[in-house]
Amino acid sequence: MNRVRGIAGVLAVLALVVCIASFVVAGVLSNGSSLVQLIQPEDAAVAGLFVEETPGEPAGTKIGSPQIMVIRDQEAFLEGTGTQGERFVSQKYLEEKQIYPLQVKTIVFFRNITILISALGAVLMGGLWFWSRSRSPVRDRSA
Amino acid sequence: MNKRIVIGVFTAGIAALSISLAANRAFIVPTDAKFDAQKVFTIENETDIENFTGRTNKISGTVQFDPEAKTGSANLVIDGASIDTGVPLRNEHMRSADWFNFDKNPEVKFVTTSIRNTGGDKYRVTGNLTLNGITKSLTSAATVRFTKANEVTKGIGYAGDVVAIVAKFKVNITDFGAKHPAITAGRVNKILDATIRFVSSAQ
Repeated sequence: MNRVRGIAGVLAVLALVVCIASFVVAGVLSNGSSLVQLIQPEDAAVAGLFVEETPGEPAGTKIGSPQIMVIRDQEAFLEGTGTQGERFVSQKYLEEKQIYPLQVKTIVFFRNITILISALGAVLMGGLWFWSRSRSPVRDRSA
Repeated sequence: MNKRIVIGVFTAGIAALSISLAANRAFIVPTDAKFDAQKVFTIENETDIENFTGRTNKISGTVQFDPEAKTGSANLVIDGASIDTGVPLRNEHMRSADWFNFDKNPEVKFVTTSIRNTGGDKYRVTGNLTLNGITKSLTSAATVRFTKANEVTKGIGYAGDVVAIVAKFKVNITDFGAKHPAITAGRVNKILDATIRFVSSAQ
């Protein structure tokens, strides 16, 4: 029974460490993230043929809607910011450099999954530890 | 007397329609690869894990447009099988029968049924979208800009006057046969934002 208690105790502590570490890792990975609008840049002459959506934005085709992304290569960013404060990033540059930017949504998703599993593990192993502790024979402390 | 009035009105109607049709000019979406950068179709998908946008520049078709009357029509075809999401495995999934079934039905067609100018270069476009062999009517907001042939358009490579169009619409993918369990479980958005942006040119 002592062996079960020992293993359960170690696993419960390990699960708690993983749980806490997931916050730290997610924080480190998300560091430097910003609201980003991907744009496929195009020639100003071509852009001039279209009705301008928002004046002052870089010429080109918006790829999807703004997302919170981690892009550390500052050369990927274009001039200006959008109406929501989003920064513009060149899709062409990302493709040339073979960068597939990580979204904070992805980091949060895997962090939450890790927290859920590790917290569940901590509760189960902690419960097993308590249960095995209560089932252990009481030692004669006077001996 | 009444018969003459009816014939007169009918004749005037036919004449007006003829003038209207005659004023609509034909523009073609060029398929030459050198124009690929000037046309794009994007479709944005929200999932639990990330939001991604598939895109292709394989767009072809014709546009009829009257810049004075601000009316027209369009008949567009998009090669769905060429839509790239940035991840090859995901592209395969998107082409499968559970999703858009582009492996079997690669063509996405949009044929307008009505175009109404809502002010300036803005339009309300209604048309029939055919995806995975299923046709549904949908309405979109669009901008249309006509540019007469000039040094700039010639410099880009267009033969004549051009019409540049951007249309945005929402597509409920379950209406078009998408049936992946992730959609019914709500882990993937079933209503996607699509945008088509292209330049068509008179020949």
